[in-house]
Amino acid sequence: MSQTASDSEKRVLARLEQNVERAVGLPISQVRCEPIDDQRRRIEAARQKPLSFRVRFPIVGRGNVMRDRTRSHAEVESTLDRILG
Amino acid sequence: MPVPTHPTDIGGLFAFYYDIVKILYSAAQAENELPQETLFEINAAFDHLSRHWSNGEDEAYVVEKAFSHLKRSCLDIFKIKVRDAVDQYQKLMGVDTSVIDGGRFDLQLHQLMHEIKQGATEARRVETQNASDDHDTRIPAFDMWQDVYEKCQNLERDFFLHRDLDWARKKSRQYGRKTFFASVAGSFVAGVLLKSLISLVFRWTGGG
Repeated sequence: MSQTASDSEKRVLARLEQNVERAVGLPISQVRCEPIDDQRRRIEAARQKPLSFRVRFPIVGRGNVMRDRTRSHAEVESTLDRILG
Repeated sequence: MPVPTHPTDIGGLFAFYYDIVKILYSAAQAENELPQETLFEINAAFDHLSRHWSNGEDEAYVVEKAFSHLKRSCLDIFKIKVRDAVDQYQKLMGVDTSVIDGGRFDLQLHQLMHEIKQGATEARRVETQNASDDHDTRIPAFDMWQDVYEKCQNLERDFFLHRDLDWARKKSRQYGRKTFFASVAGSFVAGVLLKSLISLVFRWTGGG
């Protein structure tokens, strides 16, 4: 098993980095270096409202305790399958 | 920068976190609304890591477990983006966008949504095929999901936030109002005509 990615994976990562730069509006080096808490504060200040949480996939029955394995992934999968028809 | 695809120690796991997980998390956080699904996965990864020190679990074992959750958090972010794009597309369907760019807007929007759905379905298929082994080495279908993610971003930027969308909404509202008033006027005229016709028929049958 390789510890490093192939050239094609590096190209994919480079594209992902460009897309993230576009979404965040900062150079990728800054996105990586800035602590996520500082990022949150900066975004909250820019949007002038506190960060909120959202659930894009149903979480009924999941419970709110931290478990070894959450059920979120399976729910994301089933909902995605449904919307993709 | 080398992309770690299968970390075997905590250093490798955090290299993966910094290369991929953190930047995707940052992109999700940039919307100022964090998806809970992602937080659950990252919390679970953190909990696994802690067991190396608190429960004496083997480092390679906790890294493998945490890596599995981190991979899932990335896949969830891609999938949440697809769901957002589908919602945006459905909202756009509620507006008469045929007036934008002489109909090209609609054509390209439908084409892009088709590509997103097709790409996501294919990525999902490949991911499912490769995910039978939970210890697989990398994010399944990472390149395909990245491509879908990019298209979802394009849909948001080029269509959902299109500069002419407000104008199209106003135009649809104006058209809707005109149609409404025309319908009311038409119904009124039809009612008057029908009433006259019925009166004539009664008069005629009464006279006969």
